[in-house]
Amino acid sequence: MITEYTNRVSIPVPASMLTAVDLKSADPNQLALCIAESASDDQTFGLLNVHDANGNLYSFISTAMKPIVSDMVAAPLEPPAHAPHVDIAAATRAQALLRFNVPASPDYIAVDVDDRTSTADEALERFGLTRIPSTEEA
Amino acid sequence: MRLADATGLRIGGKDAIEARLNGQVVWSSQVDELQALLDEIALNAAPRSVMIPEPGILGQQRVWRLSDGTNAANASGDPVGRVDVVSADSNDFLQPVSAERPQYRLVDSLHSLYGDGSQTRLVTEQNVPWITSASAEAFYAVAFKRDSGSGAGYVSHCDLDVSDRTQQAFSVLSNVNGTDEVNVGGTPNTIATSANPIIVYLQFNKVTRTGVISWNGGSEIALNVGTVSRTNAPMRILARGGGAHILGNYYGQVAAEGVVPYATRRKVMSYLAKRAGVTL
Repeated sequence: MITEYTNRVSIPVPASMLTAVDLKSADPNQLALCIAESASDDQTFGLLNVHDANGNLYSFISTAMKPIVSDMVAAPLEPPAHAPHVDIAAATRAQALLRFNVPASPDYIAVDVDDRTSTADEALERFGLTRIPSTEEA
Repeated sequence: MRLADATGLRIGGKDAIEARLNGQVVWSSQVDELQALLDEIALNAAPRSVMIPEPGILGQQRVWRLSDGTNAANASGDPVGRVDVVSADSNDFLQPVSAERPQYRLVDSLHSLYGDGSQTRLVTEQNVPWITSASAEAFYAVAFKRDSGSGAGYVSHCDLDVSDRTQQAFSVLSNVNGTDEVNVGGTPNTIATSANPIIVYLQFNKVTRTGVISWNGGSEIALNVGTVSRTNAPMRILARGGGAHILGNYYGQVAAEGVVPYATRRKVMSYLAKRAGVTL
């Protein structure tokens, strides 16, 4: 049996885009709610877990993905069945900031799409990002 | 002879009839090794949080792509939003956020959950009484493998989102300061330093703060047990809440409330070892 989730998508959202008091309403989280699969996907970004060489912080996720998601992020957004009340205006603002296969930057939302057998660490290297050690590693 | 007329079918000297769906055994006339193990544990203790990430284990679909228990995860590479436990406590492991779901992996006939070290984890729906309740004795066994070169990450973790492991009720933490650890009541026990699969079990008493621990077929040694005072502790696997996510494979776990006898503890370790592809 072959999985439909043939790609891995990795996304670092700059901390400056996650300043809303209610993080669920932040533009990147509304975009995640719109294009992913669950009504809980407005909780995708929040934990600042990586940084770049200049010390800028990002909320980084890396996950299996169906190829169709790459098309959805380039097309006009519509409310999905799992989230009929998604803030389309907020999601569209975040969509306009997406940049594919570029180093991470505080100015936009970099997106890395690779084969499903690739790893989150490989994507981090391409982004020029480093994990923030947990307290257990310190 | 039609199968419907059969009164018995002997394969390899054993009575055996099984049905498969998409290559997975969904029903078998044989008593499954896991079921036999659970029955044996139940003679002395109550099985809890028994989670084996194999889609069709014990005749039911257990692994799902969505946290509401829909969309079966049967293909290697599928994201996992829910794994149903096989123990009667029904305290299943969930992840409602798409980007935080681990992957189901089937490699060389070994079933596992894969955590990619970013934000993947599964969390029980409720607290886990086998660690938080007043009853004194608890048993826990787990099989996992971390990827070579990965940073520190939680294999399993019982607590609210407490980042300081010396304050946690219970945790198995891999590659912290270069070693793997079991912490009970915040007291660390170094178990191994390996990028190969690790199978570890512990039997401990929360009141007397005593216990034993064994890993990878080794002899049991004394377990250091701290004060387990938490009353509010869901269980996370592959991470704790706020960070330290493990990069590697999780082959399953068996827990119980009560004393699991020595002979049964060894059987649990052997069972989990086989699931991780390890010969002890």
